[in-house]
Amino acid sequence: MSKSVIVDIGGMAVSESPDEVLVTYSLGSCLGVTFYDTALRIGGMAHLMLPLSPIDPQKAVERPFMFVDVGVPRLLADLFARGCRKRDLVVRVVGGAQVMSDSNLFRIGERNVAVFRKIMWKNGLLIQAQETGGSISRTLRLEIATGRLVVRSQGVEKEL
Amino acid sequence: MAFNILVVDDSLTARTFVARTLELAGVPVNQLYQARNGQEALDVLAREWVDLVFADINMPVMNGVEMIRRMRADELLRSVPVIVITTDRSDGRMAELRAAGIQSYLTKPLTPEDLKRAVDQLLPVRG
Amino acid sequence: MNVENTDILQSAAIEALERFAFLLADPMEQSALTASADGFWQAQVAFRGPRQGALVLIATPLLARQLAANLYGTEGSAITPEQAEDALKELLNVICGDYLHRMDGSASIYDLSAPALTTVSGEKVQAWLARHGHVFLAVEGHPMILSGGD
Repeated sequence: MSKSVIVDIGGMAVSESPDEVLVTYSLGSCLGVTFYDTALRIGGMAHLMLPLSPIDPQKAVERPFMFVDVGVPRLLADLFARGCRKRDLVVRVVGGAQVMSDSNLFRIGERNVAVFRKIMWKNGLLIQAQETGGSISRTLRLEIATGRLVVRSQGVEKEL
Repeated sequence: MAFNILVVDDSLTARTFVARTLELAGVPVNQLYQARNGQEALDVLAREWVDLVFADINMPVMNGVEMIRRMRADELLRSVPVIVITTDRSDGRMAELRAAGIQSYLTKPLTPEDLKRAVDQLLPVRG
Repeated sequence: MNVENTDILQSAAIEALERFAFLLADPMEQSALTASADGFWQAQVAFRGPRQGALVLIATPLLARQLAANLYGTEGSAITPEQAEDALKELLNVICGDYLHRMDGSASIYDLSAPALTTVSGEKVQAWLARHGHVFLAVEGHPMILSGGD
């Protein structure tokens, strides 16, 4: 029986336990980022809300995983500290939708994706799978035992 | 197995983008040749064996369309695969180049992932 | 020459900056040009096809260096002036191709010239803005201007 570890909005989790599954719910314009080391079978997931932290430096310190620009490097640093290597990391990103709210004006979803892509390019990582954009909410499940990543949206499940 | 690859673009930035993507994608590169226009590229192709060519279209001296035509007219160069990377998204240009026998047509702005997919389709499976 | 459709040019520019250069841009209502100690770089590309004309991009050398750093996947301090100039030209090239595609659909074939770059003063840029319809963007705090060419 697998155990679900919930990643909250603006949060992250890293797991090395084969019986665990990292889960995050209702990704709209937010970005669900997952890394999986195929050699060590370590997985990490973050649920990031906004592209850039300079708009609120205080928050960036208190809750770094609210922001793509500080949260993603932090998650990567955690994984590297556990011995993960770039060449074994599978990078997958989900979310970044255009949600029907005021925030749509600022294209937050697309910007989250742009900043994430920049960090990957700068760190020398290519994105293996990407399911972003549109105007739907998505739920993510990353199985630590296998690295399997399942995206669920409007009742339909899809493996990335 | 490692490949000899030629990148043809008048922009240093564009050539560097291709080179870095190949590196990140783990494509084994033996020699990476660079050329700033079609004529320079033909000069490289005349003396070196190349497994794959990346070519821009709008370039000074000799553009990519003319370069590809000359490659296709050359018995030795006819079968060298060409991936076109251009800002030109027109169906007309795409049809023209497909007819000339290019393998892949990518438009800028291009992501490294788009480029990797095109390379994966063309080069033999790597260990 | 004035740009025929600044809305389309603006969308093409913002999208190219995001997708190609990983830079976030916001349209600015006012052309609030801040001073630049190094002056401004003005890149121009000419196009020939169903329409003929030129597109101009004006930005600070500082932004060009940031752009090049993003494209090369490195830090701004590692970028040479040559790389920064080339990056700005390539950005204009990408924006121009996308702009023409959005204007004419995919049926039309265009030939683009090799982009050229010159250094201009702030006064020259102000005078340019007064004469030409343009798009004014704030790109992560730096000004960027797009307009038709002469």
